[in-house]
Amino acid sequence: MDQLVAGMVSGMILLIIALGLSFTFGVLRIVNFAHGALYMVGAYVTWSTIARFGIPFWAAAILSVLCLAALGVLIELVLLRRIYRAELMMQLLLTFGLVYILSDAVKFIWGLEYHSVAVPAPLSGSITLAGRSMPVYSIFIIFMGLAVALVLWLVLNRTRFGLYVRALTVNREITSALGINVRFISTMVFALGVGLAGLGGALGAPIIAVSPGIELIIVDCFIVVVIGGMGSIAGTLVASLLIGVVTSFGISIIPQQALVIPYALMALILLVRPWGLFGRAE
Amino acid sequence: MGEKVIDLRKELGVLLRAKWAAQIAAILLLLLLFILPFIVPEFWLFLLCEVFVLALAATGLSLLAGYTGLVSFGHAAYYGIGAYACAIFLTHSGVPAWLGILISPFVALLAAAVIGFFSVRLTEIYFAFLTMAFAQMFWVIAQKWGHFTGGYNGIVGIVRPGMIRSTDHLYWFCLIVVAVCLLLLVVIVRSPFGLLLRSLRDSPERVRFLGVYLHRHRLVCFMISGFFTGVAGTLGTLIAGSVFPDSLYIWKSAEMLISILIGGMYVFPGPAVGAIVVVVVNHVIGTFTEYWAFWFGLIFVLIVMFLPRGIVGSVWQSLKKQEGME
Repeated sequence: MDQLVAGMVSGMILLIIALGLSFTFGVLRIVNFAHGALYMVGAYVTWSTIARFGIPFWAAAILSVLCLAALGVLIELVLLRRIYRAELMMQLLLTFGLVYILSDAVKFIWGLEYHSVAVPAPLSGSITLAGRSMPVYSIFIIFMGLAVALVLWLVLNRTRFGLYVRALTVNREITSALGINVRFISTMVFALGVGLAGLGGALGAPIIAVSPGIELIIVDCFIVVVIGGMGSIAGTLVASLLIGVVTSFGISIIPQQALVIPYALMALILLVRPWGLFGRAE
Repeated sequence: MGEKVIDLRKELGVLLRAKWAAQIAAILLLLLLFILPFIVPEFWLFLLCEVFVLALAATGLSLLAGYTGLVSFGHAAYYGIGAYACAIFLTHSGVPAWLGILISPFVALLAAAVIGFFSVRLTEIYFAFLTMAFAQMFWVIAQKWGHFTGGYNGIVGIVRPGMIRSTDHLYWFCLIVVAVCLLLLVVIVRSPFGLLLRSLRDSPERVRFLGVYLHRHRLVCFMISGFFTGVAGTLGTLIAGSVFPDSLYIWKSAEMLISILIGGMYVFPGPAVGAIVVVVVNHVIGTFTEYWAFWFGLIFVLIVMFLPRGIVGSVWQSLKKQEGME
């Protein structure tokens, strides 16, 4: 039971980050290797604004999302805009260069120490649920994960912006010919994706050690996005819960082999159904 | 309305001259590299060995990622398997050292055959992800299978066979092996098979209509590529005297791909030149600041943005322009 909750919590953090990655890829066809590094920046922004300015957690979280979205706008304008039509290798690796830049910048600005963020007061402590005690923050995270997925779905399917984004996904040229500013939409899409990384960093900060190296979550995000199907919200939800729970149980049952399981699942999905559980065949 | 007339004779002349120039340059470079141990201090020889290894690994990968258009994000697997095989043969087993060194690249070849069999069915981003997943599995196995691989601590204190124990001899050995491998790769790229690989990249459907088995050729290319990267891994172990799980991680795969992009992916010397840039930049910047990765990332991003054909590719392009071919 404890493993189930722990798995769901880490799965939900993964979900929030992977949604950003999946969304960016689904719409812009850009594989953003730097997404994990941006999540790390988000966690550090959260920690440092709380530690230095003493602002409340929720304000730090909002600040993290805004900072990261701004960073996303910058990256899109300076780098990505030039490579939408470039070869796959270039698309894959340009953002890899960003990983080097961002992870060293984080080390330079915030140092190598481990930092921890306290769970915000209203969400600390635990409640008893079905005879078991559960941290309130875990329940909050699970709720937030579901809420973010729902909101993203609503934005995509019930707003004008979402309509433009879906049109852009289907055909960039024709969407542009209809008088829609596809460049602006692309920038916003990337900013939203990176903003989600920032949100993941903020919400994850109280349950992880904020330290260099957490950018490696990108590998798990790729696993989730591949298994769920790139661009699918439902798929990302199912896959991140699956990976979170399987890893959590795996580590307690077969600690030696557990880490292979996510990669094996990813390989299996790619072989049987390359477009993912919920994706559409191209 | 200047109608563009391509003077075939002129074009052929340029090409032939370029070919001769390239061959002479290669021979001169080889001679220079050969006498280097008499001139430069030992530190430089180790640095050059590192360049050789990365150059071979990247060129091996470019056969698949550049010429065939299948971007493998998991070539660390074959590098690492070559490296680990060599380390295990030299420390654990009773196999004669040289036999172990000789077999190691073939272990990588075997792994490439198995993984390639599954992977070549996919293309584009899916291929990249699948190869990455396989490489990551080997990375986990190397960490967890402590009995054989030394786990997180890797295998250290590997003793080279007597013949290549001194730095000079090791350097010559690496130089010869890498030179021979690169020569073989040139032959492969220029052969009808190499031409076929490029057509598999540019127009797989048409090649299929010609009655060519797509997957079979991709698999052969995958295996050749994995083999040469495995040779690089084997040399890597001999040079460092140690091997760690890092050599199987995505960062290693990325390093090879970055070399290819920096140098230029469709020109043969590209990946090797990129490897020089990667190794030199890392070492030079590393002596000035501990934040070398920041500058390395910046340099890489700038090169990709402003020289999308890579260094060699761009030079080649401007030479062709000067000769009035475009």
